[in-house]
Amino acid sequence: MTDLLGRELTAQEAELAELYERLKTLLGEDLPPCAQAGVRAALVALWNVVNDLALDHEHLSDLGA
Amino acid sequence: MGDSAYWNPKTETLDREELDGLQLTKLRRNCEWAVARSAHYADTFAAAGFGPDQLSSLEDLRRIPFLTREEWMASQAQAPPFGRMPTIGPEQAIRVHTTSGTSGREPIRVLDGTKDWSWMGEMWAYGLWAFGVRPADVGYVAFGYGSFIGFWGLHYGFEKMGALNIPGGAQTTENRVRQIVDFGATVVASTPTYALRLAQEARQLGVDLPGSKVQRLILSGEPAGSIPQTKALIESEWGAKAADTAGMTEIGTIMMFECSHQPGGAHIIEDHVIEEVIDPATGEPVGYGEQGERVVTSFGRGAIPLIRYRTADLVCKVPAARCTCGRTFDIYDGGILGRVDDMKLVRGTNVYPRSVEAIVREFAEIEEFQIRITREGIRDEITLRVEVAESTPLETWPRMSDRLGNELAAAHEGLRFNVERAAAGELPRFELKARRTVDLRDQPIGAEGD
Repeated sequence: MTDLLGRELTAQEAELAELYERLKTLLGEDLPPCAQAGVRAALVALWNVVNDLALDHEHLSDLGA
Repeated sequence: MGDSAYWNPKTETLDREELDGLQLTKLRRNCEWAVARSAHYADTFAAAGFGPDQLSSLEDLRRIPFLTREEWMASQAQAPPFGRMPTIGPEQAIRVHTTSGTSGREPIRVLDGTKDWSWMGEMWAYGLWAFGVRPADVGYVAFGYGSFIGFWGLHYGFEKMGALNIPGGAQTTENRVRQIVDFGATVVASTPTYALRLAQEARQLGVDLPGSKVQRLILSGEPAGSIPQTKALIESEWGAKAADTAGMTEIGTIMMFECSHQPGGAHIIEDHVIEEVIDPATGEPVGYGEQGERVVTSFGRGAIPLIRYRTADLVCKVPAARCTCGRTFDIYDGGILGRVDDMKLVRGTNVYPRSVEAIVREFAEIEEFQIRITREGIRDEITLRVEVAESTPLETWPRMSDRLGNELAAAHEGLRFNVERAAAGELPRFELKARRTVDLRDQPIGAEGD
């Protein structure tokens, strides 16, 4: 798996990218409001990480974020 | 986290080829997003006969039409309150902000979702970290908050990095000075004008700012943060280092920051924005070292994509190598140099408010000033009105005013400035963007305007 620069992800980066994907999946599920708000906040925090580290770049409006 | 000189070591030190590649990837994705979700951009790209899939190099960016403030305003008028630019509706947003309104025009209104809002704090974190702000710092935000976007992003940038944040909204200037000292603030954020105002207030209160814990000032909102004479005066009044930053409501955050190496300019956050510099008359790009108008394309804001926005800011881009900090982000030499439209023509001579301020700030006794341009018959007159510290002996005024007049004339092809002393407290004070140029030509008698 490579980043937006075409470099192989480090182990740490791969873990961050996986966490980000898991949070996106979770946010698409039917969660109680308290969990949904917390997952959204966590996803947005991780979005900054994957975006800064050039692991991914997208917008999250469809997920309510 | 505290060991790194960079907030984001991976992209702040990319070589130019990699940085270009990253920008192109983000640009393509952003354009695809904008065309698919924004009525404005769908129309713009269709009218240009150009699609995001045709972006094969950064050169292709020039095939996308510019976006102007006038178009944005027209879009707001056509589909109030937010226009046809947003990709989301208010039901998907969490914030509304506006431009400051200091230009006297209808403010631009912007919508942001959760992610966009968080990104704005992230951009400020790049700048804060670069100037040496760390989690152990105590930050004071000398700003009125409200619907103007101002320092909101910095507020969250402080918190994001773990610094203690003191929001200084809804306070008198006196209270702010006292809070800065009482809470032991180590970093203060304000406009350059307001940093000087706070220093004046401190002196009147007998508060020793240079003896306080403040070590750094984060300046934004006016070009003055990069005028060497203004910055030197602020640093001397506070006994602290000052760094310039610049952003705009249309982006929602800053797009450039001055690092702790202070190369005489500000680094562009090039992994999050593309900054072009063009000849404002022709729209053609200008090279390194040439002055032109900033055109910004930002990647972080999804709710209102910003693609090739003409800012009307005057800048001069120089290569990153100008700075020794190791960042590969190019630099705007001298920060924002002014506005494309703020040059005044007086009796055939160009007058830039920035040049006048650079001279005025060499006089530490001057507390506030105003440039007033009038028409007497067929002749234009320019007057510098200054407020001098009350402690300044009266007998020094004739010499000071002569020196001011001579220096202003020497810097403006011999143009004679009238120099007048205003009464204490007579000139307006500013917390946000200062408006010190008053052009009364072609105004009905008795009217005031710019």
